[in-house]
Amino acid sequence: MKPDFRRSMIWLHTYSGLLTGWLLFVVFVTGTLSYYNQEISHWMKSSAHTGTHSQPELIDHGLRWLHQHAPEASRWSIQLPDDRGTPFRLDYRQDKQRHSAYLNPQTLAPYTPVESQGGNFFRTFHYSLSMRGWGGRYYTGIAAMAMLIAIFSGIYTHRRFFQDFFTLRRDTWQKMLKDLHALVGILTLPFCFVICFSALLIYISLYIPFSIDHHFNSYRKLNAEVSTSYPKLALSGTSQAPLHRIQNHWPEVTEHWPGTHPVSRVDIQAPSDSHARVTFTRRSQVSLSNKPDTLAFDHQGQRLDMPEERLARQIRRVFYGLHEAHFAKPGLRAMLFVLGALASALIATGMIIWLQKRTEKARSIHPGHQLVEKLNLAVLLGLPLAIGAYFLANRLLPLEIPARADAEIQALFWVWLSAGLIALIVKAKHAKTLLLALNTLAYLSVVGIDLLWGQAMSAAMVTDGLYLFILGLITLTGLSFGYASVRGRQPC
Amino acid sequence: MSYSFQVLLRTLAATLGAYGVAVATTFGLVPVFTFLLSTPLSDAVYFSIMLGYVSFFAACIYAFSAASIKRLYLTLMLISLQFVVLHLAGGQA
Repeated sequence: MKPDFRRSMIWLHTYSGLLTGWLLFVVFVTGTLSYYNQEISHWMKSSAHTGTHSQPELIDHGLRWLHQHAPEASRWSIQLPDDRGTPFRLDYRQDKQRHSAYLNPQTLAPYTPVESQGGNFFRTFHYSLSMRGWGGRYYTGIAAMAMLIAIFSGIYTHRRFFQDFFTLRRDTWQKMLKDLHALVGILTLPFCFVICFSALLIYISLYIPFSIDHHFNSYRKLNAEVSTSYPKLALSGTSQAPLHRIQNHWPEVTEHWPGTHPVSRVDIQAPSDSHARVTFTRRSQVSLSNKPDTLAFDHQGQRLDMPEERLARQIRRVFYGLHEAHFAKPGLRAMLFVLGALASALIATGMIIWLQKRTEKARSIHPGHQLVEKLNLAVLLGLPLAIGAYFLANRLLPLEIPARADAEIQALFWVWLSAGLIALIVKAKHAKTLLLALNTLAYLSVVGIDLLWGQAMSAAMVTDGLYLFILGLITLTGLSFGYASVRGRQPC
Repeated sequence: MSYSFQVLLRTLAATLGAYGVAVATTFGLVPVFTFLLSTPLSDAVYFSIMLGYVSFFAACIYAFSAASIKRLYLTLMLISLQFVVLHLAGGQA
């Protein structure tokens, strides 16, 4: 097709990138935000996560509360607060329905958090695109494979790999963009590889199921064969006063898992049956695997055994865990967030460069170029605006309206649609100015609302580092858009 | 052969063809793992699927770099055939 391998790869890089770039941008931006899933949820729901009580004290209190409010429940769960903004939450299953109660970890008083999907919306959207029933996960899978091909073929666009890495020409916008694209591409190469390959491994049962179906009938069966779990709980039928103190189990827990906050949650199956089982789940910041460490005790206080899983399953779990990055401590998490943001920038600059190269040479504007230009605006500037609107809706919608969480998400999609219409109807140059200004306005007004009226700016919140961190990120985003709209001489 | 027709044929090879090779890999490597390396069946299926992605990737790159269309399609078919034979041989044994 092309005379040599290198030129074929450049061609492949151009078109695999162009065709999937917008989708990839959407997936990478929302996926990057998911690194701060808990933190964003904490900011949006104004939940409480700090206190001076020790973990056994909190668990004991949770048990007392559940005993009082849900004595008939078939299952109790106590989720303990952590420094990522996870709230202190009690869940119980009663009459086949899940109920939740939130307690303040300091005062131990129940409260109602703001009804919102929080950061979890970004997490589910980045792989299902809110089209779970309509093949959303297949599109993102295709995008992941296309990204792998684009990063591999992208390497061949550099004749002088190292020289290109250390080059950043700042004389013209076009050259700088091109050099930036190359620089960021090399920087994020390992990150993008791990993210895209692990994404493909997560849904093997969707993407290439045939061999599994042939050998095991269904993925469920294969999974049951390779995953290890505790034996199924056999109920005794005789009732018993539920567990109300954790002191008998705690020494063994701390012996296995040293540290002051070793546990992330406690589950009690069949709490009022005499065969009740207690399971402790370890904080996920310790292991790469997505299977958390657990310790389970039967009704006699005996620890239950779970066999080690075999290598193949563990490899996949580690890839899964690497993708989700629950293990990452604040520093590493920030680095992953920056890498994700850079990868999004890599995709965005690629789309812009494609267009620039062609409009420079062309005498008349081709309809295809116009389409790319409009889609670039609708996605590269429309998505950030939609996310800004999501945050804004979270602060502006009245707390008591029904289906509030859905209303926030609807705000996101309506604003995105409007941004798309602006890009479609208004001339590209003006649309870009307008969208940049709107982005600035959206993010800075979120900050303004919080600073001026925030229910959030109570004394407790000012000292809350997580809350301030997210607000800081939003401020930074707003200021960046502001800078771009003031200095917006560049064509997009 | 016109340029756009070539691009179409190569794109088909890179998508459907590569997927075919990938599926063939997920079947064909299972007996290789179970017989030669005596891997348990469940692990063999897992490993074959992971390598199936590698097949897809390689086939996709090859689809756009092969010298001729004829050679491209022949290669993809031969590789798939080889995996099919391996799978059938594994089923017999």
